[in-house]
Amino acid sequence: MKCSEYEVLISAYVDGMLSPQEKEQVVSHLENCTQCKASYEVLLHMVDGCRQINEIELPKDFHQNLMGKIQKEQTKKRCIKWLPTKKDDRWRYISAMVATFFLGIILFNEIKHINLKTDTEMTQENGVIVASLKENEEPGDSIHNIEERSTMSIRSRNVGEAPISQIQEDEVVNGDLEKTLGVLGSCKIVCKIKVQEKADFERQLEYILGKEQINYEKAENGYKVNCNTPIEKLVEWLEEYSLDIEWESGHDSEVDDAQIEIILMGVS
Amino acid sequence: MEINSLAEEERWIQDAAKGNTFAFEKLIMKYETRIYNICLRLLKKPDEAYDAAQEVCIKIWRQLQGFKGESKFSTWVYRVTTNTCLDLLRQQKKVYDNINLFEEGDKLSETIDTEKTRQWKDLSSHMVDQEVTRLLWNSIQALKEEYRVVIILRDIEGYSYEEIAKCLSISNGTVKSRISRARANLKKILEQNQELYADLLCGNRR
Repeated sequence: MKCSEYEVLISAYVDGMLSPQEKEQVVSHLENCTQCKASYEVLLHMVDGCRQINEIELPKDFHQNLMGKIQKEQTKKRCIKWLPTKKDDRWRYISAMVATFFLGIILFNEIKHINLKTDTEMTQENGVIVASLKENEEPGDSIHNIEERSTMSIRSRNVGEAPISQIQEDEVVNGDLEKTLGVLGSCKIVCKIKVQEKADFERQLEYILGKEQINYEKAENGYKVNCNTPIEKLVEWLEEYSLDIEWESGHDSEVDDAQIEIILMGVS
Repeated sequence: MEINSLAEEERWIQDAAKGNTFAFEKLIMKYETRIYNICLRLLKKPDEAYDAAQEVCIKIWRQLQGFKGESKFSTWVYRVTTNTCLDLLRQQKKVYDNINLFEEGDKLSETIDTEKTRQWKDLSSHMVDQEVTRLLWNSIQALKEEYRVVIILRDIEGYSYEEIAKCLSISNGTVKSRISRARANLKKILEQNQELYADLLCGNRR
């Protein structure tokens, strides 16, 4: 073996990474070859020098800053638990919404046929819907007027969507309703996006989300992003980055609290 | 005591994975300085290293549930750290090939320049620690990236060969030869830089 061939072995010898046979071979070579011996000593010296490169202290605000982010993320995590994660639950969620919707329509049609008297109160006691029509001063008014003058509230014990905006916080008693509060006052946006390379998109998006301190969850084919800061920057970036982008239910960059569902389309 | 602290760490990991931020704090306190240092070595700029290290810690928090203990926790942490930094480097296309002192394939001269290496050894043994460190560090920065990374991981941060192999997704054999080549290159650079330092040093000593 030539000296140059010993180079790798000597380097591994410094790290104690040789088999007993190799070790023996190197040791006996070092005894006989002054050049390699010198080179070995320099290597030892160099490695030792590297180890003495001191560890640098953590910047003062690092830990506090980090824990702040973690706490924030943890609170958010609890807050978005209303969103069912299992497919089964998701179906229940959707059917509950559909049911609420249809019940609403049926109820509304019912109202049309009710012979209206003053102080009409209608209550359905099945616990799903409670509708109350308050005083209507002029009997025989057209349906149009009734709509205007009556206050109607629909309460849903299941997870619902639109009517929930009428729930007052003090009305929230049971756990289900509490969960629905996650949607209250926020705006849900769906964004279908086409990108060139999925991995790069994910990396960059995660980087931006991290930098803006926006919480997110990775979904099957995209992201669920929970913004509680203005989403302007993110929207801007998505528009700029995408090959093709489609917004559903509109997007308003003025929105302060938005849930954006980013769905990746036709990824190569 | 070692076993105790390992069992304790195990508990922290499990609790943190369930969303216990207190357990996570205990856990991350053990690693954050190291994470920051690795980021700092690999990325060079303190502000970038700060952001990257925060990103790494948050990634660890998010991915804890996925950590099944196939590898040592520390190995996993260093892997997340290294990968995050390498990704950032790639992203920024910061390829330090411009200081490529050697041709592709590292055709180092066959004969080892004993005289020069001996000089460096003598010189460095006379220098105060800080000076050696600075000379070494500057020389490491002049290495091309693949060598710089293994020197940082192995000789500064003390990763094992297996850990480096896992982090960089290369075989143990490749790790061995890459470290050897990286060190040979570092030695060359040190020899070139030493003349600069020798002048400086002589001036100082007089």
